Amino acid sequence: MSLLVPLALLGLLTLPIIILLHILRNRRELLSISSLQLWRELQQRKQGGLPRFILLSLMLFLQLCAATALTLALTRPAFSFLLDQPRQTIFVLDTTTSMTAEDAGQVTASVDGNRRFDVARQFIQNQLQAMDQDDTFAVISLEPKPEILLTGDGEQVAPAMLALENLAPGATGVDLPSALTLANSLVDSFDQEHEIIVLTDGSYPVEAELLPPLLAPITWQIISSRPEPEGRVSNLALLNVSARRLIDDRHRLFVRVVNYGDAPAGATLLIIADGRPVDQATIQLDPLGETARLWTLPARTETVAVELVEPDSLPLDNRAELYLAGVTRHRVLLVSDTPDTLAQALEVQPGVVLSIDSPEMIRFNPTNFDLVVFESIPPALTAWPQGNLLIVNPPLGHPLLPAENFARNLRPDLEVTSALLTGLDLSGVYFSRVSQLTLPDWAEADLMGVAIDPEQETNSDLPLIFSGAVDDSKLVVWAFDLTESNLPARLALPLLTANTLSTLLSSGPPPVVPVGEPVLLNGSYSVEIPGGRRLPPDSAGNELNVFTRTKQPGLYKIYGSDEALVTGFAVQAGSALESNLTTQLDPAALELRQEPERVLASPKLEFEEYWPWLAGLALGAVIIEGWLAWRR
Amino acid sequence: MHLNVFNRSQNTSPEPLPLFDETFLRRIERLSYRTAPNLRGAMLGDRRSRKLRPALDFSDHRPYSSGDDLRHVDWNAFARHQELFVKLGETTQSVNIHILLDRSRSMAWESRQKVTDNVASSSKWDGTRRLAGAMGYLALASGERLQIGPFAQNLDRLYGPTRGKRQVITLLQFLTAIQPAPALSSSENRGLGLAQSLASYARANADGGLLVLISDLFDTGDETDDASDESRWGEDLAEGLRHLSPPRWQVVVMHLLTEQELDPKFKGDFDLQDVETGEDLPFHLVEETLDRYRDRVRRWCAAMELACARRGAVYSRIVAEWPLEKSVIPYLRQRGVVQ
Repeated sequence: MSLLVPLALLGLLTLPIIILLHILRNRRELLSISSLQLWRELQQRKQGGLPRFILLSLMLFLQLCAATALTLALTRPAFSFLLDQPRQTIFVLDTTTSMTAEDAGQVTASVDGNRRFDVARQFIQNQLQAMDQDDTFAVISLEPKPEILLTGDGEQVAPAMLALENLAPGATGVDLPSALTLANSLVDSFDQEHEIIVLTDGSYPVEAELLPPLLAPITWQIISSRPEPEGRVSNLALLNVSARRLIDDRHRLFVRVVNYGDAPAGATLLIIADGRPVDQATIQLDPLGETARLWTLPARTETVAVELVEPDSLPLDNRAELYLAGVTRHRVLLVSDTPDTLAQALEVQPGVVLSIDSPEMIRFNPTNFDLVVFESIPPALTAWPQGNLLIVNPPLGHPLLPAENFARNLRPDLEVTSALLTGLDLSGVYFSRVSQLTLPDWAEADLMGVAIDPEQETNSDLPLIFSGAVDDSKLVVWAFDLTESNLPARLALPLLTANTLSTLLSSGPPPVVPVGEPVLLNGSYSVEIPGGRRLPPDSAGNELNVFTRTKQPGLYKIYGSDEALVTGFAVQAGSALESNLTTQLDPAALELRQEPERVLASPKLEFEEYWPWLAGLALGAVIIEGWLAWRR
Repeated sequence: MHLNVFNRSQNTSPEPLPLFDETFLRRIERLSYRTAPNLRGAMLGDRRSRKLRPALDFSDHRPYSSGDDLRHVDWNAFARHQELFVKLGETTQSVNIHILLDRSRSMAWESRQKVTDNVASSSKWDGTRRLAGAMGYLALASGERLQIGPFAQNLDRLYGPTRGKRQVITLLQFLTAIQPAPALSSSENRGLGLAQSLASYARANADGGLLVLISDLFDTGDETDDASDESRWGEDLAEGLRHLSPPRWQVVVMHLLTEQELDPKFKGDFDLQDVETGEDLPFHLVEETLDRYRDRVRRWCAAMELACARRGAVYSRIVAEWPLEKSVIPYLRQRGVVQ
């Protein structure tokens, strides 16, 4: 209750005034008695002419009541009600692989399954169902790159529930500071109450110093496998499953198994090559113990899978697959009158499918090739074609790379380092003729040339190799004539060619990707995910296509626009970050800071005044008093 | 004229309450005064007399004297002793019942009563009249000779003497019509006072009899200072009773007080005004003061009782609020006033 006009409380000063008036005007009541005979000796002297105490008469009581009620009415007392403030709840949902562990301790009848993620999801759904219309919510994924999965208000609960049903966990590692920072960024409205609820299994260490100050109270919902002190963790994980191609085209398979349980465990390892079991092994591991095994797979094996036969808490890390036939194909067009040297250097590069054309006959569709190599630039070429270009020995007087003259007898400046020169030994290499180019604005020099003869100062500091991008073209320029150099006779040429290709072309996806890790696809490819479903290429047609749907462990096959299998990669769930299911996060020890300068908006209050009741009470008291006075 | 005497219960008007209830009066017909046997009576009645008169019922002899009825001469005794003896026997008589009714202003005092209030129907005054009516009816019903003397500052007009139940109507009419005396002004003569009123009455009624004094005994005849002096409490009453001494007189003093007079409840600052004299005094009444008053009342009543005892009178303190039939009559029976 609050008083809207507290100054009116001064009206209570009328109470002592009323009492004083009663004292002053209170005359002795004349009361007849049958005889004073027995009273006479009891008579007392008057003291100061005033009665010694106030007669608590009904009139005085009524007057005090009336004055009090009237004063309180003037203060406008009111009950204040806090209007229901909209509430914003930000759920930070752990979507890592460990949340798929089927050992949730808080399984309830309402949860379908006992995965940790299911429990967390059910918690969010329950919270959403309890929301009011004005409430808002957001769901942020807790993974290496946290992102906002859902936002909405109380009216969008139904689609949010559906979206949550379709949400699948799958990520390796967490970035809790980033997730909390993202949650902070959503706390932007000061007319709401906010709460951040983190739903996680806490199977990762957290450095409290890295956590940002929070703009809202945080609640931790730790979904662990240990509802009781004696609860146990059992999980064997396949880690670092990889293969190396041998010279005879066979593959050497490496398998590492770790027991993340707190009890000794045994398991059977099953090796499946191209869908057929080829071998198996029995292993026995102590708590937190590990073992590594090697297998040699037959030649021309395309896929291999390793399985731990016995189930445990986290099934996802019990199987790991590998795609062994994966060599990325690159379509290269060589435009040259004398293509022999370059063609030889290109053809030895793995995955290169070389096409050769002469400058006079050049009619190519850039989208049909991953790389176009121009040995000398055709005069008809007035603009850089779209795509990846390697320009070798640019001619004099071409408008795209204007060179006025040739420089003679240069050697590479070995002090310059560049990614193009990785692994190259250029000592002893000389270039007899080099187009004397000025480094264009769009390019950066990768290799500079210096004169072999120091007296030829004019030939110093010419770019021998430079690279850059012009509009939609990505270029590497070799400014020297290969035929006027000893480079073709050196091992450096194929290495330089390989480095140039790896600069201009993506090297393909890695053979093994952790769950949830995005994969960079250089080009527009369709991807067949485990289960056989084909995902179409990015409709935007971006050359660099980031494939992010890697939450499901298994084999992913990449197809080109001609429906030809380009390559593949494997997504493996087993990792040291996710397979260890033991809860390591202790929220009590984090001592999260609250943003000190956060100013909360004044809550919206609604007042219900009841001064009319008090005024009525005062009026009633006055009426009763008047009636009593009239009766007298 | 409407006489508020025999208001039956079926009377539709509940106000005013009947002063005398017929059922009650019939019920007390069974009672009678317990009088001393040596009281002298004037006429034949139902009460045995100590006097021996010539009678056929033999009890004693006395020598014949001239004028004696020859029928009462004991001729057998004359034959044996050659002397004339008259046979004497026990006779019955009626007793003179005197009711002295205090109608001073204090007898009409009402608790928390204002000075200006009508006092004609106060509970104390009604109780007084009911008690006087009951005592009078008891006398008439017993065949006694009744005389009622109201008094205030002086003796007023008497009722009676009369006898016989047929006089009940006139008795009750008299009591209904009687009014309390007005308050005295300061310059007004205070009259004879209780003692002189009793003495005056005794002189006027030399035959004596049973005298019932109904009064609150607040005497205004004395000087104020004397009345407040505890040592002199009861002197005025004793002086009055001295003229009403046995064996001629048998006196019953019915000391009628109200609950508020015995145990006042009012507290605060008051100007207490004597209802008779109009004199007022300021008082600050707290529990301590009231306790002292109650103690004074107790000692005052004891002084009155002692004065009565010294003069052979029966003292009965009656609370005006007591119901007559259920409390007062049993109390009087216990005190030996009635039987």
